[in-house]
Amino acid sequence: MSRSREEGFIGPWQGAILLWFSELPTALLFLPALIVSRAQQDAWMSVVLAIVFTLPLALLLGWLLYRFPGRTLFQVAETVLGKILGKAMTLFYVLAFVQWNAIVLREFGEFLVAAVMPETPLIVFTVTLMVLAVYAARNGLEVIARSAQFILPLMVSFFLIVLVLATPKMSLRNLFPLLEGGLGPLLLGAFITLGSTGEIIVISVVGAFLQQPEGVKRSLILGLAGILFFLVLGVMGGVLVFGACEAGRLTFPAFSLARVISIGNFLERIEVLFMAIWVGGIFIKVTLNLYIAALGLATAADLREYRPLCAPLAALVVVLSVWLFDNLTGVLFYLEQVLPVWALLWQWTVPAALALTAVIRKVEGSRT
Amino acid sequence: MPRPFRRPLRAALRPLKGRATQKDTSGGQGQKYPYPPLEHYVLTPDLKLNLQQLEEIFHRSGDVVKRDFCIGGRARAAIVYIDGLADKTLIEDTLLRTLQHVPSELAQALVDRSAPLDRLLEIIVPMADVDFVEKMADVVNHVLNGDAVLLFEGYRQAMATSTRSWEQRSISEPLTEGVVRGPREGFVENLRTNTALIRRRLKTPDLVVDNLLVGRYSQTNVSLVYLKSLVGPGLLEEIRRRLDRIDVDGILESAYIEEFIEDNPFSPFPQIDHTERPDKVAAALLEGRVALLIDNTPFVLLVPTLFVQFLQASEDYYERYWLASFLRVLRFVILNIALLLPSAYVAVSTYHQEMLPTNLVVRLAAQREGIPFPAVVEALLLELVFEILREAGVRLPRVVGQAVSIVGALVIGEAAVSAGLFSPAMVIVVALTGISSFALPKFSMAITIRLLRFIMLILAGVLGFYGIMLGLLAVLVHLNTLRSFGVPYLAPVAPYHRRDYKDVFVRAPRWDQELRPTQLGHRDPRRQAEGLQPVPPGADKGEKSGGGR
Amino acid sequence: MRRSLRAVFLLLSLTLIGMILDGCWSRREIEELALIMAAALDAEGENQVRLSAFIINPREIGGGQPMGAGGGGGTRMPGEIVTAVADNFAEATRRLEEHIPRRVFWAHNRVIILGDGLARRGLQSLDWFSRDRQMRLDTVVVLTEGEARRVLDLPPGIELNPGRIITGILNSHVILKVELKDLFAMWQARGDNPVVPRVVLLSPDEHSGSKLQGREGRPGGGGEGGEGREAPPAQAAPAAVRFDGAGVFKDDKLVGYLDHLETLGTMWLRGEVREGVITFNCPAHPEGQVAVRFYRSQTKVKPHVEGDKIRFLVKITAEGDLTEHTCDDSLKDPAQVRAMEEALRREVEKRAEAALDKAQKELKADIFGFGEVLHRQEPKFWKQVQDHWNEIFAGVEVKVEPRMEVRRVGMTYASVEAIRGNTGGKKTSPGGR
Repeated sequence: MSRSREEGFIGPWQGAILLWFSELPTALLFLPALIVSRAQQDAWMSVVLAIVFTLPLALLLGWLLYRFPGRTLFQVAETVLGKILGKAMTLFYVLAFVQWNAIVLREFGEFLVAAVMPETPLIVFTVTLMVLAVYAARNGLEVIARSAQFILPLMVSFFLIVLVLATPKMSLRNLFPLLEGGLGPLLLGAFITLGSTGEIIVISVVGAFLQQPEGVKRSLILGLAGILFFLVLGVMGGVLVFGACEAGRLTFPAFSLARVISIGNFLERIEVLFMAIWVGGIFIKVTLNLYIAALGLATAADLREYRPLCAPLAALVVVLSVWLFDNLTGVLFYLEQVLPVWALLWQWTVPAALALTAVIRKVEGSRT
Repeated sequence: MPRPFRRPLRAALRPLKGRATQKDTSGGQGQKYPYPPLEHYVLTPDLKLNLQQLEEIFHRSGDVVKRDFCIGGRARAAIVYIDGLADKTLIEDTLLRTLQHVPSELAQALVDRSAPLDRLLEIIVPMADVDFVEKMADVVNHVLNGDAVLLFEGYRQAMATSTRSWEQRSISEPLTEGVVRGPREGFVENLRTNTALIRRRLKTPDLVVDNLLVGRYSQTNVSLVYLKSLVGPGLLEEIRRRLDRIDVDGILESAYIEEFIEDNPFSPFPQIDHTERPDKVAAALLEGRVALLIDNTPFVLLVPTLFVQFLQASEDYYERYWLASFLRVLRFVILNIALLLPSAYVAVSTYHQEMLPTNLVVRLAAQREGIPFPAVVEALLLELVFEILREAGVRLPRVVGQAVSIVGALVIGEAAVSAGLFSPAMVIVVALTGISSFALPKFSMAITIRLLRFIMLILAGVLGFYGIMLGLLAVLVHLNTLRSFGVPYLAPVAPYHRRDYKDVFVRAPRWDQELRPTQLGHRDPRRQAEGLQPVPPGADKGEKSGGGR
Repeated sequence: MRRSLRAVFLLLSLTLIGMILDGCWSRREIEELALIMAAALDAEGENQVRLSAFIINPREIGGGQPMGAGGGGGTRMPGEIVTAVADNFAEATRRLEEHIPRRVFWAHNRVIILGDGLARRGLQSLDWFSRDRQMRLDTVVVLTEGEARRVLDLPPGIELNPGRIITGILNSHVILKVELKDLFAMWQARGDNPVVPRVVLLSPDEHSGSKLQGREGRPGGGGEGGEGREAPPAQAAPAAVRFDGAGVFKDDKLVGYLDHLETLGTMWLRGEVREGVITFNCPAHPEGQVAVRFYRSQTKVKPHVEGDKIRFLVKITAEGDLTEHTCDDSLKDPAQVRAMEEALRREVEKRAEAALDKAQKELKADIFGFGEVLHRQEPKFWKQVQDHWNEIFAGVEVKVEPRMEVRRVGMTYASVEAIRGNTGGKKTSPGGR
């Protein structure tokens, strides 16, 4: 069996932070508007609900890692399904991650073009970010995790500062009435959110480099808690300041928060700083996805090194990101209508099937 | 779990060619040394032949003094030393005079070889530090190091006496790391003086001074200094491995060594700290680091080194911790200003004008009316001018340098603004940036920041804040890939070690810093007794209050 | 390893060259911007709109450096007014750029002045102002009767441009202030209707009181004819603006105006009062006057639904200090203060009632956001009425319950009148302090 892994381990906090970064940077930008337009002022409940629905997935992924300690999802697939089927599944995941990465990259580009620099061609942003991502991904998971650890405090503190500065413009009334539309819109909102929360599937690869099984457990719990916390804050912030109506109308409500605040009447419109810091977050996300795809492809091809695969995969991602959508509306439509279903398939159903096969065929991971 | 040397230098593992591994590092008897090899010269009982050999070896250099004389008027002998390196008065007044007046029966014994040479010499030579050598190579080595070597007719042995004494700078206050409070001694160019300075601070047999010779022609002494019981496992071996690889003509400064042993040779960031201050070295040793002393330079290398060390000054530990903490935070601000201010200004004024208050926008716009360059070019040009001024100020003789900087700063700045070439705001920005880069405690880091500033400036000019962010991310990833002798460069921030945060952004009071830095992975993490926080008399905490001064 | 170093250099130089060759897409140098400080929106013809913008001249405002040429004395304008007519405002902005040498930059625009004509046509045309990324959501919106363009003609005084003049006045906290995002929120919500403050232009006499001074005393006044590219309007240029009343929109169309008193009432009912002064006659001595400067006010609206009938209870609480008092009763007596509070209460009630009257009887529009309150409290009931809320609102019963508290009486206890009166009567001894 190939061991296309990087030498190195990450701590449980680093694992949790990677989970946050695999979800939040784009989710905080795009999701609030989508959820709010469905669930209105109850959007935060949708988020809570979605996290609750994600718990089974977390348990499933945790179980896989418990049963096959130190193995990435790709290695598990090969162990459980045999060589050919396993490789097929790994390839499927590589493609899924590449496609997902292309979407994230496109979201990022669209955000920058729409909100900050409309005259600049989108490809400039995507290519520059991807070049950087290749550099980072080649340096391995440890470096990615450490970079994430460095960016996290910046992102969190900036996000919280924006929220705190926006409090004078908030009014609690905007959260009421509760459950105006009944459960329907709530579930719909949660369903859309599921498309993003399913991204905790990265733990099935990242988790292999965690200490078993305590580290995985802590990573998952901390990761989900953080995602819940920040997503709820992001959704609530938008609704509290703008009201459900307006927040559903804005393309980037969380970002618009930064548009309405000023720091002591000197720095006014700090949305550009918001953008700059968000670029850091999205960069980690893109890098992580790229790293996982490269690692998967290396496993499938029985290569000892994943590094040479980063650049070609990145090129593929850039091309896909341009080719998949025509415009921002297309991206939003995809996120709203297609992604949840597709995510249910590749992030939920396939791992579940894998676990089931492992149980039926009684395959166990050797402890190495 | 801590595996400090996860990635040893790739090159260090490569099979090394044409070089014997050096077991005995103290004497310098490896094949590498002396250079060129002197294998076919041997000491003979024939004094004349020996002197001829030496003359050949030294190519009749003018500063090599050879003098024949008679011990006690009977035994023929010669003394060889290098003028200027050896203490002439010591040789003439003590050594020669004593030897010439040796009682004749002893001299006769020397001629008759009635006793072993060393026994005889024990009686007649009035020196403490002597060494008997049998190889010509060693003779040469001793001579080159300032010892006087005595050769005797009829013996294959020679005796080296330590007469090293040459003109050297006296210990003075270090110029690059001044302090308001704290010891004012700085290292000098003499290795022995320097080790003594350290040993005066750490009077323990645990302090080990390990000697090596590096450099074919320079034959530079390098000392590895460490506290045996504190240094982390594997660190010493790794340092020796890297030092052993070095096979070059000469080592003239610590930077030579630095470039050969650092982890990432392509990085713009300094990965090894250097200092002129013995107190700083002692503090580093107490944390479990290793100091590399190199002869002929006052700069001592400290490994492993972390990024944060470049933002710390030794005075942080001598002033009150409130002030020290404030200064540390301030230095992070300074670092950011030095790196980002011009590029942020360019980004805001050419891409994100909405960020500024209206009044400021109007004022800046008014100032920039009629400026012939775009803001980026203006910034680049001014930065360039500033760098030229700085360089001129450093290179010129001190008196002239001052004049240049005044002329440069005032006249050029003033004239350029009034001629409408640069806007006053840009002059302020560049000046502030320049001052900030001087305010960084470490020059080696300041240089790196200055270089990166230009890249940031160009990125900001092309892509605004997004460009700056790209640059910062690249730097961040790069910093995260760096390791200094196995320790992640950005520790303890990333990877995060909460315990070590007491000495990063703030400087916790000394009685609260009970543990040594974690990242170094040494055997004994605790560095002081518990509960040293001073308590006023009467408020007895019931704990032993020892050692807390 | 060496190879990678070379590759890095190659990449760096390549990107540098690439960037210099065709980069800098979004770049605009700060001095190339036409900073708009105020925009006036008018209706033009049948379907077209007219955009007028006040563009600042940084050389004048920024106390320009001695930039060589162009020194000279003479009167200079703090800015220019430019105008363009188009089908919509996005296009109008492009048109503006056709005849000004710099690129229009909206991010520093603080004031949008709506012309009466455009407001009656509807707010739809404002969409661009919420969509464009340069816009500030906290830009204030004001309304003016007649042509909005004329407001831009305000001459420089203490402040140099009309944008600063208007925002400066609005920052006094006394006047109804509506920002762009508030306007959109009021417009979108079904249970609310927009109210926008109205500015009235003042002639020089009205502004400074003296006819002579008004015309000639003002240094900047000489340039009336020279400013802008457009011929000055037929009327004499205004000297100043004053805020007076507010325009009421029903859904998105202007339907009428509130007078000063009604506007104050609306602010009380919407809970937007922050500071202000209320003057009334003394409760006991109608010839005397009392002025109370209040701060810290709160408005709570409670809907009560019984069957089909909706009742609103509006609780207003405010506290303030006495700032003027020319009656001859002593304020040492708590009963007197209570009487004062009672009079104050009636005063606020009067204002609220006036506003309610106008909104319910004449305009038939819920300008107080009561519908939204109902929406939050009784979402089920709201569903039934939301489509014709304005008509229902006209018939609902609204009860206003103000509670005013006078906290302090200022630096003196009694008025001079009171002291003179009291010494005669020998009731109390004023000599205490």
